[in-house]
Amino acid sequence: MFVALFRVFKFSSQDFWRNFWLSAATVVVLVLSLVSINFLLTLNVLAKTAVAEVQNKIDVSIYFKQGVPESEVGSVKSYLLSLPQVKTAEYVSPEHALSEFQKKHQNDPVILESLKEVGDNPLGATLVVTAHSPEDYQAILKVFDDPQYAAIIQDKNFDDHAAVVDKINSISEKAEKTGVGIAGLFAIVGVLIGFNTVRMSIYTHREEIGIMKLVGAANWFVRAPYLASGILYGLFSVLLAVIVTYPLLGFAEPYFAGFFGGSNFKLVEYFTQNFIPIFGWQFVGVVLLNMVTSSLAVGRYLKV
Amino acid sequence: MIKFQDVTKIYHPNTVALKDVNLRIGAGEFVSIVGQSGTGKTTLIKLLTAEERVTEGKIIIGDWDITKVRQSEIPTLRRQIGVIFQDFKLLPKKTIFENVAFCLEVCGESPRRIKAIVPQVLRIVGLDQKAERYPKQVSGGEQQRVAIARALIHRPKILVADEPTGNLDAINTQEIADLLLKINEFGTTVLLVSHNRELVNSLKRRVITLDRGVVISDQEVGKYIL
Repeated sequence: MFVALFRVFKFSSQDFWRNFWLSAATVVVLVLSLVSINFLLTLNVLAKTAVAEVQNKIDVSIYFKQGVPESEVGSVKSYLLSLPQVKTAEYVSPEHALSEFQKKHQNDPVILESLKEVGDNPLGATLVVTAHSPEDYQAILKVFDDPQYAAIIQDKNFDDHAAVVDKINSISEKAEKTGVGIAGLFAIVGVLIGFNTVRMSIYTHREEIGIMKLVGAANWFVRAPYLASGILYGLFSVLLAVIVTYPLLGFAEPYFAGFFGGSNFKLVEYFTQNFIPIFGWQFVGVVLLNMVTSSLAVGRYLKV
Repeated sequence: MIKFQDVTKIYHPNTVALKDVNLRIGAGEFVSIVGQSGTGKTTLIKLLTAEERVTEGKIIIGDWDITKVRQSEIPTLRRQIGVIFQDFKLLPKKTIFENVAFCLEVCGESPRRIKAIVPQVLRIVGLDQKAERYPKQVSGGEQQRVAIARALIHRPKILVADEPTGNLDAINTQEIADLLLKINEFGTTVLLVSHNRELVNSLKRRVITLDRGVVISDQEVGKYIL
């Protein structure tokens, strides 16, 4: 059996090199398909990372009125932490808030002078609240609509990044749709070229096939080299896709990082860490696609 | 023993290639099948190798009714019937050795056995000294010998020769005839399909004559009568 399998792959590889240009065309289209898929994957990963980063920056600041005692702020904090939507609630004391304010405006003499004129610390305590998900912020803010808080809360500031998240999602969605279309188109062209390659190969080898049948080669043995060619096409196309994808990733990494708001996400590192799942599945997918295509062509053109 | 029982073959839509053919060919016989073009000689061979199926009747080889042969059994049948053709059907990019070895390779023989068997068979047909040459580098008669070597590689019980001398000159024709007789002497049943009157007459063996798909003559020591 081992000998027979070895010969199947031997005949298959002979077939690959004898019909080099046809094989090359099939492999190139498959490579284009795989590179498109990798481009899609890159977009998807970057968009998710960018959205996660933006979402991490979202918070709500609750500014308490001057003179509200720390114990009262503490009880609001405890209440907030008991809410299922709240992830963290950080207490910022008036003194810390003032020092941060001064630090932030250290180059603005007018503001610093105004503070001096006021004399006392004009700032109250602050609670900086983060939620588990962006949708939870509305529920958190609604809590403070209750009139009981009107006496102690000066202001609420929701730093809303929803527009940014929407923009990222919208761009990546459009790019994804275009990418799926391009990858699909290449896949269809790949199937058609693969089908034609096997058909041509059967035509080229009609004499050998005739002799194989004449001398009593098993039916599976006559067909198997054409199915094995699917594995060869898969192997070559994934290898070439790896060779093409890595330089492209290296080239595109800084541009993507800039586009997605200075994200320091390492694309090449991501692909290297996930090499087996990414390229392994691509290999399995391409091989299956090729074997189905080859089976159709063999069933149609190779009568045993 | 090969038996044709009331064999009829009709090609679509209504071309009758063979009609009610009844034949018995004993093991180890040498039989020439003659007839004009289009009389069903090649159809007879195609039915024997299961390349075509009978429309009616039975073909039995030994105890095996090959008219009921399953697709998966055809390779087994073909390993028991060696076939050679007028156009040799050799692979031009393979050497003589490789052409013969190819048959064993595709049937799963081990490399060691291939190395052992192929030179033996090439010796039988007298080509052991030219094993590394390509088909184009040898004469037509020698190419037909390669085809015979290939047909013999599985030690078949039956050897079918379809116009084996059609492309050969008189000397090569005689050499091939002698080789077929030698193979027959080893016990292989030989079916020779031929147009060559001199060859058939010189053999002095059984001759079956077909005309328009019907057996019109079957002589134990026959002559080409058409």
